[in-house]
Amino acid sequence: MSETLVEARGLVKTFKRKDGTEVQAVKGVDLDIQKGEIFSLLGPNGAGKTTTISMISGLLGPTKGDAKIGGFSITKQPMQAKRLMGVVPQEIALYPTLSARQNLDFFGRMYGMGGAELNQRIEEVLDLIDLKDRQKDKVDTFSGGMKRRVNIGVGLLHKPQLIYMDEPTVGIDPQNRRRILDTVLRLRDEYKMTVLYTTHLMEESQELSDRVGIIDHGEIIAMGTVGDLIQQVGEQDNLVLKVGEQNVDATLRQRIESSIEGVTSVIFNPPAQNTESQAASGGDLVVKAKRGRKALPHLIQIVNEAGLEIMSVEVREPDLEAVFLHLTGRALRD
Amino acid sequence: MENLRKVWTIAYREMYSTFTQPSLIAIMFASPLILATIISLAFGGGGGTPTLENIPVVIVNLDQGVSNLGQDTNNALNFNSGQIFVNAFVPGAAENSNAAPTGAQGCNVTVSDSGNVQTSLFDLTDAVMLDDPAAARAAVDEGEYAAAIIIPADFSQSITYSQAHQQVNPTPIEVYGDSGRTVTPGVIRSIVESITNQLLTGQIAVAATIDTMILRAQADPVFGLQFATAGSNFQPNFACAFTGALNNIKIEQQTVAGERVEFNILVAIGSAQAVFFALFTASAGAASILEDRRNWTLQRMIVSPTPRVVILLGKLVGTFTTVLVQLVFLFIGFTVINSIMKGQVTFLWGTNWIAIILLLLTTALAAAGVGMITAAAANTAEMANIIGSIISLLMGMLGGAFFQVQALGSFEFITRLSIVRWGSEAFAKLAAGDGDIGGNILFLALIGTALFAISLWIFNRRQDI
Repeated sequence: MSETLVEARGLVKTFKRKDGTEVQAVKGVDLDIQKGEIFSLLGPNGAGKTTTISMISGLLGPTKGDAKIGGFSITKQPMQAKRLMGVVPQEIALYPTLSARQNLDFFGRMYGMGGAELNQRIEEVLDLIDLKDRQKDKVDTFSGGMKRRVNIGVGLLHKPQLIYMDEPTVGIDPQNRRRILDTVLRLRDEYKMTVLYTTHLMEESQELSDRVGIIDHGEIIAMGTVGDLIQQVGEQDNLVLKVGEQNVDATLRQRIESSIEGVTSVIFNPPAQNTESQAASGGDLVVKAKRGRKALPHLIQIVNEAGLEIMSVEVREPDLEAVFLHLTGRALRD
Repeated sequence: MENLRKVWTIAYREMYSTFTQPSLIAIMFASPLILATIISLAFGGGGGTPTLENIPVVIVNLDQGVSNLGQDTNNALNFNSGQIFVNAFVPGAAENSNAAPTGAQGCNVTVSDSGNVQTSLFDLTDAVMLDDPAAARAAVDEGEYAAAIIIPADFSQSITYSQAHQQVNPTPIEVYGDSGRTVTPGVIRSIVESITNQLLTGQIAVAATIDTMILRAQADPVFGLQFATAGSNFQPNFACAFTGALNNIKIEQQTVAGERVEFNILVAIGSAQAVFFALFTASAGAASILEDRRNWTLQRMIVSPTPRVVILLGKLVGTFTTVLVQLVFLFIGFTVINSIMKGQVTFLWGTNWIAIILLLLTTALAAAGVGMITAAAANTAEMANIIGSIISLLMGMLGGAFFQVQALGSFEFITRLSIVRWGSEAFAKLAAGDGDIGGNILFLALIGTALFAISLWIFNRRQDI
């Protein structure tokens, strides 16, 4: 049976504006994170992800509610709770004029480490983030990806049970991004750490997470595994057939909807007429179906029988983006 | 214990970051040394040549004198030691005086620096007499005089040796200095001390002479008879022994503490520049809290198991220690520069090491306190640096970093708002051999502690820190 490591109840955070009015950034968040899982908090910018995590990590005091880490209340036993947690902020929270090793040493001491134990951990972390050969270089000479890796390394130094990462892949190249995502998976699989990961990138959340919490306007609007969430909202596959400038008339659309099992809607987006580029983007026949891959052969057969030439076929399976769209009526990137 | 280690870790990182930046080092150390040296050279004060003259002094002689030196009371020698001070300072006083001992006239007092250049005390000072001590003190407070010399009523009595009064225990002469002037009250104090010492030396000579005569008279009846019948003819002229005419007042060597006195503008400008630049360093150091917040390194410390107060204390200790190191190096630097100028090793700030250490500590505390309160009041590091620069400049100007504060005349009291003034004044006093800096140390310690405490309270309350 899994054990709960993080338990948040009724977290509320209210900020005062300059004009004296109040804004509630987080509106009563409840959250449970199990030991050894990667839990993603997914939401658009400004949804309240960072504020929620700032309260859990002890950076901000909650206006109401409390969170416990390993049974220690972050408001009543903050020092014990903080010892169990490593934090990797979105910002590069490092001293630029210090070397990678000096940064690790400084923040290690902030966790009460020292002497041989600290030196050994620094070596291990430098190995993990693959920066042993650059350990004595000043951080401000590093690339963005290397800084991100040191940023992560600092959070891992004291072997925390829970590591919190706030959008750790923001602003870096695909190669370094891949490296960081792999590191996150290693932390769970090899080091048995619990990872609390916030992101606004649906793909990352979907790839990494055991469970996902979707947050919007300061509230958790859905929580569960990726599969659970998709099932919860009843999202369907989208079958997209590109037919170019050919017309798909209402009779054909009706035939598709009535003769293929599981199809719920058929939409034709005609091609734009004015320019070459617009013409290239239109001419899509979009068929929504509960079991898209099963319906696809029958769909192709009907379209061929109607004398239309199919230029390409795409099966779009439902994702967290679709879940968010379904729940809020907005795209994650809006 | 773990928290203490964390305080030191934070403080050490602050210092490491500061002292590994060449541009910061140039601003902290080279700038004040160069500026103060240039200013002192421009005003001709680098070599220790006396540059002071016509120091305004007021003398109040309350001394009742004594009249028991002569054997014949009808011809008793009226001896007023206080008048000796008057004669020494006020031109023409000796000629008009009836109370001065015979021969006091013409015992000219000279002031020597290094024994080479001699200046009449009349050139060095511009002295007048008053009868009312309170009026004299008030005039000093208003800046009319650099110092008031108030000779107590029983001064002559207290230092005069006779068979009836065999204890020579001088009642102190009050030298009431203008706290707005850094050097001149110290000079006057040292001259008064010097004359007093010479009077005491003279008294010892008189005592020895009289004792010898009495002993000889007791042992030799013939001499005793001659001594007893000498009567009014026994009028020894001890006057010059008292005035110091036989011993020039060496103002470099004769001070309260027996230490050197330097008339050196490097002292005034250098100490003010040092404290002024220390304020800049303190402002920048304290603003690092706000920089840390912007860079998220502060938040990173807050999410570690480190109490907020430990983080703030670490910052405070770091700022304080950085300022202290800067002040120590600057004062050593000024000593080296002065020694080079003079061609010999000279302890510019005197050798009262305990006072020097206490003053350095409290000045660093006060400067760091000003920096911390500036950072506590500001929202961003940039804002803190701007406010800090303005405060530093104002305090520097009021503290004499750019001109002598006496130029402010009756507005001089404003300069008391500047810790540069309190610090540089105390350093100038130490350089002049005057160890009376308790008030300055107390003020600097109190203001530093109060500002530290207030800034700690503000930082602790701020949600964004």
